[in-house]
Amino acid sequence: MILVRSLLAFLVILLFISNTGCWDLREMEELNLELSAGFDYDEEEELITYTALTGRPSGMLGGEEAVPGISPVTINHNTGKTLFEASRNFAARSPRRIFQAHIRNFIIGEEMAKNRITELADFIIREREHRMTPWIFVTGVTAGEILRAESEGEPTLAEEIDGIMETLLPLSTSPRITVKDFLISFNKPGEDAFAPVIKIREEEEPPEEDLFTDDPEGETKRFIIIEGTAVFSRDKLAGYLTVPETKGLLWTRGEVIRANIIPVPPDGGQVSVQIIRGGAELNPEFKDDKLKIEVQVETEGDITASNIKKDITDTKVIRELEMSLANMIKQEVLLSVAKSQEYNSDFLSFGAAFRRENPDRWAEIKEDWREKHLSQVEVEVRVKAKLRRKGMISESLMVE
Amino acid sequence: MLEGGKISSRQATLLMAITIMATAILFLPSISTQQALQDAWISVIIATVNGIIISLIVVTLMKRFPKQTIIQYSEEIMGKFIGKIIGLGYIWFFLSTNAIIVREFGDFLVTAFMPNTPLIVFNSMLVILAILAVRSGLEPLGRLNEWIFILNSFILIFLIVMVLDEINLGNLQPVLEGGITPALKGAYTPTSWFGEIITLSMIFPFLTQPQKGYRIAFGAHIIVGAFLFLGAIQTIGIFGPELMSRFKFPIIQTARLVSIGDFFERIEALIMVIWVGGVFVKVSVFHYVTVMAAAQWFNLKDYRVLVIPLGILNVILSIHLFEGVADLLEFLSITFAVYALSTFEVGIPLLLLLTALIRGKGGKNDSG
Repeated sequence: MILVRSLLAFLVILLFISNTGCWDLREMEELNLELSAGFDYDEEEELITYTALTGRPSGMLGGEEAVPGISPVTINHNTGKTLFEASRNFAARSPRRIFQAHIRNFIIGEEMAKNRITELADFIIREREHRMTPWIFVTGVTAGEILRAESEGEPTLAEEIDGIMETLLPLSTSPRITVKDFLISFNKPGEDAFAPVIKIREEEEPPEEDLFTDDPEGETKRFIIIEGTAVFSRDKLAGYLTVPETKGLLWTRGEVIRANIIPVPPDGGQVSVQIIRGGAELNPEFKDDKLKIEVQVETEGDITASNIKKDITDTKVIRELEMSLANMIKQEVLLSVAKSQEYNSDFLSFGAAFRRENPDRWAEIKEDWREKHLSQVEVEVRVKAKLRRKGMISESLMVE
Repeated sequence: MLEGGKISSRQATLLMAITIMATAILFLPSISTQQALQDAWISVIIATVNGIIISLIVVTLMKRFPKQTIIQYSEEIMGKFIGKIIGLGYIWFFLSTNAIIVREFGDFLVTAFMPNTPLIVFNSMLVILAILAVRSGLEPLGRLNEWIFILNSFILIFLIVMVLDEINLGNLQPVLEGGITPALKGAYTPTSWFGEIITLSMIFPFLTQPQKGYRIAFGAHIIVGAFLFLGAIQTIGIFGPELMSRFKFPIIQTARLVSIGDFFERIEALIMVIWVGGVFVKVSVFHYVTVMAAAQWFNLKDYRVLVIPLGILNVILSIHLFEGVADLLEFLSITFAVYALSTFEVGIPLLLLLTALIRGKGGKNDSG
């Protein structure tokens, strides 16, 4: 009995040793956290370039661990025939293991978006460390250029992009798309994916008054800006939407919902409206030989600024303003519909609406939905806009 | 009597529920969705109803022989020779199914969490735990499971609540797009998991209230059905059927979406808790019934001598039965259902029941 007990005790002590780690032990100090990943494609050479923005966790936190002289952030790029190859070639030059679970954004270069998007989608889902929560972007230039831009208000560009996406919500100039949203639209029948566009914004720095150099020239700094939408048709980038078209897209998807300041131009002067609530509904209809869809947008807002000469406490004036707001929304929706039909890209999800309405009829048209039917769909837009509150004053201050 | 302990009907219900649910909650959403797409939740309902029909057969059989296990009464019904063959078949069924479960356990941990750790480490650790559990008998396992069940249910419900605002019920439309057939196909594999209720036939003699047999089986199936239903709605609602059917473990992806205020996130370790806790109980139950079946088949006085040898056999089988995950998944989603349902889960019990009815064996007053 004593033998058994001492044997057990020995086993328990043996187990303590294994407590400190396992085969998959990874110490923070040995990792480089990947923060942003960019993908570019060279069509002639058929090579994928993977650009990674990585940060050393200790360096980013500052404090004792930070090593002076070594930048906490590094930008590396690598090429390969496949995405996986490009992403793994880093090992040859990175002294630390690159940990991908903390990626905050994926940036897709234009050529990549046109040619290899399916491979990218597969790469993102298959890798165990990848998550569905990072933001995803398309850029007209290369992803490498974007990742080498400077950050203005945050220590790293990845955090800067993250921050912009948070503050972008009340602007509705770009959709806010995570990897999950992108992949859902990408895989859904009768729907096409879209993603915000990230661009380079160049700014002249005023010349510094420097005693030691005689260079009078100011420096051009390259920052980033997120504006507009990139839309796909099946697995190819189809084109870009401007800001008004993007707004039309967001209205149709019911995503212009919080604190969007919309200037409404009535006759003479300007009124700004802050959107409080918004929603949209698609009502598809199979007619005998035609497809018709009704886009119904409902929205509610407050007046936040006004410099018109009319009395905005007057219900008649309010009705007029509501009319012109509704009209503006309608124009934007129609702009995005026109682009959808031009690009054969169903980013407004009309196909999915038809499929929900009548799966049998949908089965007949789904084969050449984008090429043939989408541009033939008759679209009717109905907007209900309501103005509720008028801010803290009743009448505009106006000098007669 | 080989087993001294007794378990209450509540413990038996929860034990059966965990036994079915532990693996199903992880694999079902994607296996059903591949067939049924957005109608996977209908598949769950169909599978649950099928499960209840199966348990109707199995429990009716058990209640005719309340003091015996399926190994013992198959001999009584079919005669010694055929009965022994059936018994041997069940030992193989329990043992091989358990090896599959152990393999799933290891594969999941390797794929999702620790890619560099060898499979055999996870598999043998789990079986060592199961050996310890089975050696201490049915009663401690039943009591331990009450806690594990509460923990698992709590985590599953917590996960659903955390991602509630991501769920878009529009993804469930259109309902029955391709008619009822895809939903029926999607229900096929889950039905075989519900059929694991056959393990109850080895535990039945050790219940304090065997008269509640139907309630135990139905209760277990309804609990599992409810969780799987919620799981299907949750995962399809979030990802849509097309994307979801491409995930191997959708529930992990769901857990990875949880992010509250930028600090409460990356909670997928909770999935590991459900998985390790649930599969431990499941493997213990299966190991228990394997050992018990073998002991009765050999007419042993004590089942404990078989616990370790069969455990080792289990680990070996779990490593060598399949080449890789693709192999395992194919077997699970296609072959296993045909094999299990046609023979050990429905076929043989039905045959035994009909023969018992015709020959007039067993019955309410039969003390065995």
